[in-house]
Amino acid sequence: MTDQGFPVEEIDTSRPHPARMYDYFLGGRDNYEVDREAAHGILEVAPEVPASARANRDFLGRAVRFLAESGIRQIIDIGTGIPTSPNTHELAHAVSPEVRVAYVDNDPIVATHAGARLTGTGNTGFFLGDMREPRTILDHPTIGKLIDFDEPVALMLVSVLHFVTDAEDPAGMIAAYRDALPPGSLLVLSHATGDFHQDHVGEVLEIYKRATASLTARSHAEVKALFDGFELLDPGLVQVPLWRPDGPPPEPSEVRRISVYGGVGRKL
Amino acid sequence: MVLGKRLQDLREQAGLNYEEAGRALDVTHATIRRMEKAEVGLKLPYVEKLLTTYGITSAEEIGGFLALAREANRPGWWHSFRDVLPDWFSAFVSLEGEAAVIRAYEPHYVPGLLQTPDYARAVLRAGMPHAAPEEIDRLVTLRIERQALLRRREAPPLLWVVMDETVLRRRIGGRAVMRDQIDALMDATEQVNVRLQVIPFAAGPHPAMYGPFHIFRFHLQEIPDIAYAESLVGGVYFDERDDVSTFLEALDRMCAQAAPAQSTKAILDGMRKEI
Repeated sequence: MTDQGFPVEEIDTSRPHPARMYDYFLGGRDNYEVDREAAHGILEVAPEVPASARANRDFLGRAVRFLAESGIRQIIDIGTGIPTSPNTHELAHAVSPEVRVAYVDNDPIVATHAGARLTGTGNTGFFLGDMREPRTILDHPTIGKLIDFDEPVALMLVSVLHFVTDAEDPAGMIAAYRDALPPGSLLVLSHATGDFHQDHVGEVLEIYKRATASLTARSHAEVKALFDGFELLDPGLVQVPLWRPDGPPPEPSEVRRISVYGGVGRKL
Repeated sequence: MVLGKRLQDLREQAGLNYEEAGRALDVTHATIRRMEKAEVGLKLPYVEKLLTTYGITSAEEIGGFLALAREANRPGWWHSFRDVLPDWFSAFVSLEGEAAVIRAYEPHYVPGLLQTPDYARAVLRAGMPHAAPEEIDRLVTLRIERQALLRRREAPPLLWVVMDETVLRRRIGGRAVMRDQIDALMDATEQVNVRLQVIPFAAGPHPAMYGPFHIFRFHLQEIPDIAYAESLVGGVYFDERDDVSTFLEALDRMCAQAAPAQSTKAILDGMRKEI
């Protein structure tokens, strides 16, 4: 065991890792040869993936600004990934420096980056945890320090639920978090879909099968069902560029092959 | 150095060799090579001509590059130390000053940017047994002046270091010097742009037991990460992506094996009591 609480053998850098592949798609440098190879495999069959990754990142940016402007002052961001500036707390602090952010990720390498790069101020914290175990996350001391469950909380599950298989019961998992949150709390969720890529979605999923986490693409109806117990805010669950765009609505050609749905729901 | 590398990338993307690039400027291939290796200052008209030769047409991009070149041509503050500073190390000081993120693995001693003057003197004396006391004094001064970058107002870099437990166990400069040094490290853990991790003996073997290295990352997205490894007589710089990735992966694994940064202060406090 290391002092971070997991066995050293669990640090697997021999297989491609979705967070490092995502980093590569976003033009980052925190990826290794094996990740870039897998990423190139995906680019060959699905050249639009980097555009989807960027659109997802932009969605995160607009959603966090919306949260902060709506008065949310505490955020749990699960599936942090490799830090990409601007990060959740930077975006939130641009609106209000009082927003507290707890970041969670389950990968030891991601954890080292997030721990080093996202925790420079007193109102952010990071810990290593698995979203599939809501109780261990909700009861973590870092959550205890940063989050007050008597006030509305934003729960962010951005591009992570597609790494939860149906057998692992994503709906049950979200319900466990939802039940811990007071009414008025918000859920920010984005999710990969194959709805716009029936031609090659199978090949992409095949590549992710060889990575450390396999990918389950879900349909619009399946993703919408994950908002059970939340009221979807305008404009509902849409391809991410269409969620409250900053400027003029994006051209249909830009949106056509963006394979990520995103939405924000309010707990009833 | 960083701009030279960028010029090299642009030349390669344009599919030109040194001779072809030289011909556009009416200079020899060696001049181009020296510009790319930052062995000569960058003459602005040359740079502008090269950029257009390489197909860069955006006035904004050219203007930005020239501004950086103008900046790079200003002699660095460390030039006044060139009597004691070997060339291969002045490149290091230059990279350090330009970096947005400085990551390092230090198995043997406290990294230079966090050393106290007395500790620095003891390390330098051990490393340069024939040096005159005045030379050591100059080098100590240089090292302390380098540290100003961590406290500068404008975009101070993030310094993220993994230190081996050995660093804290090996007594350098005697008990009092060591205690002061550990106090200084404890203060450093409070700085927002410093992350210190200790990799304890108990963490077992790791991928870089052969020795120390640095990785520099820059604000400009186009400039690649640069890794640096040092020996007694010189330093080697790596900027090929696969080489740098190998360093990056080794360091990432070590960071994951090491105690998390939040616990560093307590570890240092424990070690200090043992001295």
